[in-house]
Amino acid sequence: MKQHPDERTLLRHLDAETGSAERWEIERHLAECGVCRRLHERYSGLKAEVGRLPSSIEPPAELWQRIAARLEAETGTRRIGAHPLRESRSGWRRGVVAALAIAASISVGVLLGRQLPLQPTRGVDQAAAEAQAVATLAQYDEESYELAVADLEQILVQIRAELQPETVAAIEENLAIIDAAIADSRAALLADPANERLHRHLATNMQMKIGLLRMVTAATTRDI
Amino acid sequence: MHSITTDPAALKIPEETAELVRRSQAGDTAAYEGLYRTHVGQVYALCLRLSADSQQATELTQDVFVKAWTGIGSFRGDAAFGTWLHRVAFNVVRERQRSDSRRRGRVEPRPELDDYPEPQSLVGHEDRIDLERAIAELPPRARHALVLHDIHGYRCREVAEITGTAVGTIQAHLHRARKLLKEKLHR
Repeated sequence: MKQHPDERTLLRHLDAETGSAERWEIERHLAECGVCRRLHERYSGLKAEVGRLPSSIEPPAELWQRIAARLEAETGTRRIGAHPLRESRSGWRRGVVAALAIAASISVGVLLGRQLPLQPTRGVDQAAAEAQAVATLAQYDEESYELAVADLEQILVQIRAELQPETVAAIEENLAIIDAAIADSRAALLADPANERLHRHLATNMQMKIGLLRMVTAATTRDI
Repeated sequence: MHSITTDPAALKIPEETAELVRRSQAGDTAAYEGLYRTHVGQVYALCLRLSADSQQATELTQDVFVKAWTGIGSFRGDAAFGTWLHRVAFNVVRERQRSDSRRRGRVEPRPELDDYPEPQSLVGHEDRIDLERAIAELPPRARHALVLHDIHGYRCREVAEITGTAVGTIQAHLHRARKLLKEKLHR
């Protein structure tokens, strides 16, 4: 190979994506050309560095519980009928209520009972900063949540007429349960804004509400 | 489109995984939790780097495992279970990004690096963070190709299958990603 191979060809060689004849030509060129060899080495070093980044990262510890709640809802509906929103009232309710039972199993009262003692001399600014820190740690964002819920509720209003009355009643009943849990968490956080467990509880309930709305709107808009 | 194939030995699913898949297909959520425990680290890492947003990555990982649960009956064992799951993950992330794009306009997510794991050693910590940040700032398609190829170890042909893109396009995205990384990192 008398001409310099282009960068893309060098990278295909680096990834062993060239045929044997082309590989042989490039290797012969690299042996003779210091410019291309240095470029090849730089890309090779960069690829090795990226390859050392972890391909597995530990997710938040409570993630399986949230997934399990949604699977319960899916399982409860899937086993009874092909369409989750046109099946019997008992099937739909059993699935969703099972999901909610997990969220509701950790009450605000229990969380408050286990809370760490507060520092009585803590200032308002410090409390706000701590609240922000734990909210970040619990991974929720009020603004994004409100936007997502508003979008999903708007879709729900549009599709409401397509649903059976008992399905609408079941959805509303379950949303009311989650809203009550969210309101409880918020009220408790007013008294104890830095309580990490309360923030996580609130985050879980917010995600539960979005998960339920997504499940209902996705199933309805897909199948109706 | 052909399904992803590698050598037959690599395609052979470990018996334990195959059993968990069979039981999950029959509706056994305890078996599915076993599959979750085995694969969640990789799926979360993939969602985190594809979305460059830690909060979204948690939600996406949930969506991936719910979607995989509803679709597990279609898994026939003609690819490794992990590869099948990564394809589900990629589609979930892409669907979310398209939907966010429509809703908010084309705003790139802000890279959030706080939730990336601490490196085992403090040596090279800053380099690692710089590298993660540089990857998070890559254009989405270039980032997708780089993450699947160089971090998760798929070949270009497999990345093309997972993303539903031509092999040549993946090579072009990979080239662009590495060139941009080299420039960002002054290597």
